[in-house]
Amino acid sequence: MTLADKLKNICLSLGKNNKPTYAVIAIASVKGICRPAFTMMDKTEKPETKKYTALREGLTELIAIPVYWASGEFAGYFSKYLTKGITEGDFLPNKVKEDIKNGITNESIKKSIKNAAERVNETKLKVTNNLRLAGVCTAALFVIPAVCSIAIKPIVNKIIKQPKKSIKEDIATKTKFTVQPKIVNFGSNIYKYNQNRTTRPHIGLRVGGL
Amino acid sequence: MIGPLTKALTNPTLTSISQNTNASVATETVLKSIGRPGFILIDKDIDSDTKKYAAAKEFLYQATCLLVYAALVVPVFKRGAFKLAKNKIFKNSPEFQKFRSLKNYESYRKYSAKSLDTRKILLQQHKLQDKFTPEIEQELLTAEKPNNYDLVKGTIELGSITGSVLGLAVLAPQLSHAVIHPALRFIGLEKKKEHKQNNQQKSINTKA
Repeated sequence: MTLADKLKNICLSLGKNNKPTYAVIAIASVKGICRPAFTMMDKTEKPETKKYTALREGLTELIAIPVYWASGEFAGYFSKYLTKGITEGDFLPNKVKEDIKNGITNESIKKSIKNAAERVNETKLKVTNNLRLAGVCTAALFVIPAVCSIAIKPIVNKIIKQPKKSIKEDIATKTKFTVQPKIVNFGSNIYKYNQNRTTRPHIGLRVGGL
Repeated sequence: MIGPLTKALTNPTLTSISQNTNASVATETVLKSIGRPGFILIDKDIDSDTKKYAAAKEFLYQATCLLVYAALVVPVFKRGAFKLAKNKIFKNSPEFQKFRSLKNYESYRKYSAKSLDTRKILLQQHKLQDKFTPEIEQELLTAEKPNNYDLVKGTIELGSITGSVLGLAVLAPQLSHAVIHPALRFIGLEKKKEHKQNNQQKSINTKA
């Protein structure tokens, strides 16, 4: 089988039945590789941010692929219940129905029955595909965002562990200060004692008075 | 007996959307642009500024995807796939030679979906005799159920899927990167870098 034959088979199969899940799964699969890759290639962001964003994007698409497939198939599964009542009689003209009742059988009636059977199958396929589309749309609107908002944060936090702050660093940040001498207005009394004249920090143990 | 729900599910518009890659992907992108920002906004674990920023960013990304899709897939990939198949890959296939262009095939599909009587009236009213080749015109005027031309349809759908993948997975992230940050700054959800450095105390979590 040549490449052209393979391509022809793919095209024929897509022409006969183009499931709505094909395109969305193909997009999600390539997006799952390309979007994180582009994020990692960004030179303007910090490596930590890049890693976090890329992982989030990759996981979103990784979740989307099975969810799209499952939603489409799950919705399509209900087709058999909805199309249970569809029979060939629904697509036969009234005249042909009467002829069949009267026991008349000829080429024209056989052709009509065959056409009706084809239309039953077509209708069933239409219902299945339309339900699949509904499933895919529900996945895009509710299921994937909901699953992502629940699952992604814990997974990302497990994979990228936040560095624990050391005690020394913690104290250093807590006791960060800037030395600013207070300027006090004494008014006219030049002998008044300035209690705020020190430039030392007002923390910790002090030896010798102030 | 066909029930009302089944009747609604066999609606021709819905069927054409579900069988058309373009329509189904565009619908899905529109729904994503509503669903994803919506779920970010109702998340209680994120602070209000971060939520607004993340939701706006996601919405702008999906909007960029939709624009790229509309601008690229239909004019380039659908037409390109048809032309490539007609002139190179399937040039010996009689199916492709019956249609002059993609537009011609789409017009045929539109008419073939209607009943024979409606088709006859429409073809006479619109004077479309010159639009289609004599063979196709005859098929539309006589056949109860005209041929689907699966190979032509499948080629167009394959072109659409390829275009969707390249447009949405490769081009849109690149373009959105260039568009989203200026747009966020324009809305006022992202501060300029120098300004941002000065105000590090109350910064938005851009990782969200």
